[in-house]
Parts: sequence; structure tokens; C-alpha cells
Amino acid sequence: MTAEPRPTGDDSAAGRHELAKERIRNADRINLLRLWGVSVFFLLFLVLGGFLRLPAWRGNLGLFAIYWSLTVAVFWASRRFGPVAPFTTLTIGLLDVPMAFFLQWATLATSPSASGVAGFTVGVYVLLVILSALSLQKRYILFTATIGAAFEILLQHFAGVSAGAMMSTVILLGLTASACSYSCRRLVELVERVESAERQRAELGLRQSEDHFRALIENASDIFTVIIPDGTIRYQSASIEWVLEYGREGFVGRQVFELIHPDDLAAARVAMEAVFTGRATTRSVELRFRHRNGSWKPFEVVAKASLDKTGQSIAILTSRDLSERRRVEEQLRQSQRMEAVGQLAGGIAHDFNNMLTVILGRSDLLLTELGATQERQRRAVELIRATAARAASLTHQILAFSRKQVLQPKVLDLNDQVAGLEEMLRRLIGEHITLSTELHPDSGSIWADPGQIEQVIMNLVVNARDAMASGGSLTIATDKAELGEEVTDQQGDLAPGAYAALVVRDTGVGMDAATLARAFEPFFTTKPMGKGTGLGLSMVYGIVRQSSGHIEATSTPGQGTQFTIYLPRVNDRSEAEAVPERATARG
Amino acid sequence: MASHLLFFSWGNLRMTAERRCTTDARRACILVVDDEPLVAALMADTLGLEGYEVETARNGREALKKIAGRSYDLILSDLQMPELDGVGLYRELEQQHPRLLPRLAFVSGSTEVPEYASFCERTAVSVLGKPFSVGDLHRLVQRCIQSVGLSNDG
Repeated sequence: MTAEPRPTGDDSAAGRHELAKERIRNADRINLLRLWGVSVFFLLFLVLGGFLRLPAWRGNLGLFAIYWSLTVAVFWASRRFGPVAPFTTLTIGLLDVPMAFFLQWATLATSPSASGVAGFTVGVYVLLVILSALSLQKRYILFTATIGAAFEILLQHFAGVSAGAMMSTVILLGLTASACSYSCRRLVELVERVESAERQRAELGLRQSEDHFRALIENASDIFTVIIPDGTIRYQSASIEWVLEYGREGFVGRQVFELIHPDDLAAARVAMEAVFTGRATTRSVELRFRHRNGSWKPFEVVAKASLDKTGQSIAILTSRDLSERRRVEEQLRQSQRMEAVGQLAGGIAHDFNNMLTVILGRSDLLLTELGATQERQRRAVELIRATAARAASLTHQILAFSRKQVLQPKVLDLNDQVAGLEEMLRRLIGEHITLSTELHPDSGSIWADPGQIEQVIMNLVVNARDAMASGGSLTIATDKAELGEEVTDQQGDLAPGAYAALVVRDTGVGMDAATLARAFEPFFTTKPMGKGTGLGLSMVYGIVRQSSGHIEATSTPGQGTQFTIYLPRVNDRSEAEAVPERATARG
Repeated sequence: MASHLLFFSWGNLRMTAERRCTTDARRACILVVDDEPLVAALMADTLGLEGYEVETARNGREALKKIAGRSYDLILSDLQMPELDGVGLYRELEQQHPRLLPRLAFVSGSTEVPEYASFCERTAVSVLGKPFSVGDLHRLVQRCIQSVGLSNDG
């Protein structure tokens, strides 16, 4: 069975054609049967009439020779000329039936039993009617039966058979013909039924496979578009509804160029021309499409040349949204940059430690040698020492950022941490800023290093303070959060699950998008020279990442900034044992 | 490791940094092992002022040669060094001079490198992080020598 489309009309024609072929084959069979049967009888005539000279056989020898010759001629003609074949069934009625009559009629004079004569020919005629049924055509069966009945009545009339007996002969032939034609009709109907069932199955299969492929195209995240050489859209798959959020039929009949970014039009035309002129069968090009909300999304468009049913040249465009890939690439680049800077900083910090050791140590030695009277020199050396000490603490921060610092994590209550720091934070931010806390009672426990969490909170608070030089309000909040896969998948190595959230919100100057994008970058600072190291937020970033957490920043210039930190929540100690593996894996 | 950052070469400092240990048992003799010559010189000077005898070595390999020649009351070693690092020195001492192990202390800026940190935790060797103050160094040396005493066969 094939799944190729086949219109219904052709199909029944194919059935009829098959039936006609079967009829011709059956006509051949009839001819072959007749040839053999007649030949055997002819042989019998030759032996009984020619050699043994039996009077009844001898008298009909010439007649039978003609009959045999006609039979051979019909057989030959049906084999030789195709159009003759379907009609050879007629010869049963035209040749065989009269022949049986003449043979029997010739013996009437010698045979005393009229009823015996009639009985023999009736048997022959019944056989001939059954043979004609092979033609599968009612009209041949009726024709044979009618001729047979006519000759039989004629014969029985000569034999002096009674009218009642004649009638029973006619009825017998009629019944035989009816039974045969009925069987033929049922057979033909059966063939037609099988034929139509097959056809329905084929159509169903075709429709199912069509539905299947339509569903594939309609539900794909790629957009499939068919265009003609002038750029008119012939077909647009339904995916445009959710990828670019246009209505289903929105662009059919319109120009594909209406969707493309003006700067990409030239590239689009070059690719289209290449495909339509046959210089390339497929062409891949990167284009920006207009989203319904007016933004531009990057797409990889593969154009493939084709022809439609009418021979019109078309191109099939497969457009894949690259936004997600671009975002992940950008994120990867960002984290690689952070990683590289971190490594560099870590390496420098190690050397700095050695040098600061010498500066500090030599200062100490010098101080022991300077007497109490040399106040000015002492003061100078102490300044050198203090400066070196500050540099040492900075080096320590760099090391923390480069993630080489060893964590000592334990189960911590985030609320306790914030509450414990509150007093110190108040002093840190000064009186012109109001500090409020919103601690969620079920924010939960986390597995982290307490010193580091303290550093995270302090850095964020200092950052907020510096953003609110003229006062404002600072809020520290805790909460619980469930991060689903839709969030964690965007963050690379973040695992979905239960998290505790720490929010630090200010009403300060805020950051624009460009500043926000670089906020966690080491050595990036907006503070005046000498005021900020540019390490505060990058340290926060390093610590959060090291604790298997995630940090988000949102900001509106002039209105304030909010940092949200998500740290994996742990329920008890046994669960906490499992977390460190996550935490140290990237140490 | 950071010699390219420094203007002094090892040769210039050798004479000021090294003081030959004498056989006088009253003065403790200390071996300072550090690949950074300026740091080794600082430690030698600091401890020298306190009356200790100090010798220096640039790495674990050189330290082992010196240890083979004589015994020391205390070995102050860096962790991150070329050829043979602090951990390697510890392992060699464990094999060749197990009685010297209590006399080993680390002075290092690499205590936060994870493999060194876990090593220090496992072995209970005293560790002083860099940068240190002169006072820190004195306290470490005093504590170490008090706990193990002066070596007898010095």
C-alpha cells in the first residue's frame, strides 16, 4: 500500500481496469478449455467415425471438423488480436450451443428415446452456461442461456417432448443462468469492496501523515515561511504567533521585507537573489526580525529554493530565534572575563603578599631601632606601615575574589545574620539614612561561611550608602524562594530548588543599564578616584557564586537599586552535608 | 616565584642574610627556607637581632642539603617554592629526619590555597601567614622553641 495521494475517480477506474484485465484472462481460459474439449471430441470422432466406422460418429465427422477448425481459429485470433479477446466468450453461445444441437439432431433418426436425447443436451447447455460465467459478465451468461434454451426447445419439439417437460428444461437453464450471474455480481462487488477499503485506508494514512507533519511544522519553535521571488509571503507557520507574537495570518500576502531590520535588507536581498537565480540551493543568513512590540530579535534564516505544484519558483525559509543563544554566549563571555580577571588578581595578590611582608617587616625593624626622641621619623615609618597594612587587607580581598580563600561553611539562619549586624550597619550608614529590616520568619537556613555572608551584607550596605549621599532609606529583607528550571537554566550551573533570598534595597541614585551590566566586574567603580576599590560588588559576586548562589541586580536611575541574593536553603544538618560538594566544586 | 618583580638578586643578599651557625648550644639556630630573597633576608635580619643564628635556603631541595650537614633547632619554611615546596620538604623530613618534624613551621602567603590549607589542617604544623609583623614572627619562634626545646646534638 502506498501513501501517495490518489484522487477517488482514478481509483475506481483502476478497479474497473483490474476487472477488465481479469475478464480478458478468463476469456483466454475459456478459449483454452474449449480448444482442449473440442480437440478431445474431434479425436473421438476421428477414432470412432474414421477408423471404427460407427455410423452415428461417421455421419457427423465433416461437421465436427469444421467446428474444430472454427474453435482453433477463434483461439488463435484471441491470442493474436487483443481487442478480440473480450468477445470470444460469445462463441460459446454462437458455436458450442448450435453444435451440440446439430450433433444431437443428427442422431435423432437413429436414437429411439426422445427424453434421453433431450436430457443429454440439457446437461451440455448447463455446463456451457456455467463456463460462460467465467466472463464475469451477466449479458454473456444470459445470452448463452437464451440461445441454449431456444435450441433445446427446438430439439425437444422435433423429439416430440411434452410442453410441460420443455418448460422444466427452460426453468433449469434460467435458474442456472440466475445462479451464475448472481455469483458473478457478488464476486465483482467483493472486489469493489476490498478495493474501496484499501483506498480508505490509504487516504486515512495519508491524512494522518499529513496531520503529523503539519503538527511538527506548526508546533516548532522555528518559523517556516514560503515566499515567491518578489518577496511575497505565501505561507507562514503558526510559530510566528509565539516567536514574534503576530497573528496567524498576519503576514501572508505581505512582503517578507516588512519584517526585516532596515540594516539587514541588503543581506536579505543578496541571499534571496542567490537562491532564486539558482546560484545556490540553500543560503544561510543572519537577520533581525521585528517583534510585535517593536524590538528586533536575531534570527538565523536558512533559505532553500524549491518549486510549487504549478512550477512557480519559491523559497522555503526556516528562521531560528538566536536571542537565547546570544544571551547565553554573552553570559559565558562575561563569566569567562570574570574568571580571567580573578585568576590574574589571585596571582598578583600572592606576589603582593611577599612584598608587603618585606615592607611591614622592615618598618617594624626600623621602629625598634628608632629611639623615642626621633618622633618625626617614627611617625613617618608608622605611616608607611599603616599604608602597607591597608594594602595587605586589599590583597586579602583580591584573594577572596579570586576564590582561593578557603570557606568554613556551616548551617546559618539568614535572619540571625542580619539581626546580628543591624547595630553595626546603623553606625556604618550614618544618621541621614534610615535602615529598616523585613525579615521573613520562614526564610530558612543556608549553608555558608558566616564571615563571608557578613562581608556580602556589609559590602551591599556600603554600596547603598554611597548611592544615597543626600539621605534615603535602606531596606534589608529576607524571604524564601523557589527557583524553577526556567530561572536556573539561564544561570548555567545553578540547581533548581528551594532558596533563601536576601534583598538589599536603596532609594539612591540608581544605575543605568551600562553601569548595571558591569557592576560586578572587578575594579569597575563609579566612585571618585581613591574612594572605591571597585572590588566590593565583585567580591559579593565571588562569594555568592562560591556558595552555589545567584545574585540579581535591578536598578532605575534616580529611584534606587535592589540587589537580590539567592542561596540554597538547607533544612537540617544531614542535608547540609550534601551541599558543600556543590560549594567547593568550583573552589 | 616573584623574583622578576625585585631588583635584588640572591647573590647580593647572601652575605648580609646568612649568619653561620656556631656550635654554641645556647643560641638557637634557625633555617629559613624561602624562594623570595627579600623575605628571607628580612626574616634573617629580624631573628638575628633577637640573637638567633639564622641560615637561609632558597627551596626545599637546598634546605635538605643544609639539614644533612648539621641540625637546626627550628626550620621556618615557605609553602609555595620552586623545585621542592613546603609540602615536599615535610614529606622528605618525614622519610629522612622524622625527629626534625616537630621543629618545622610554615611561614607562607599561600595558606589560603586549598591544597596547602588542607595540608596544614591535617599535619598540625604551626603556620604563620604573610604578611606578618615582626612581633608575630617572634612569638611563633619563641613558642616553637619552648615547646620542643633546643636540639641536643647541635
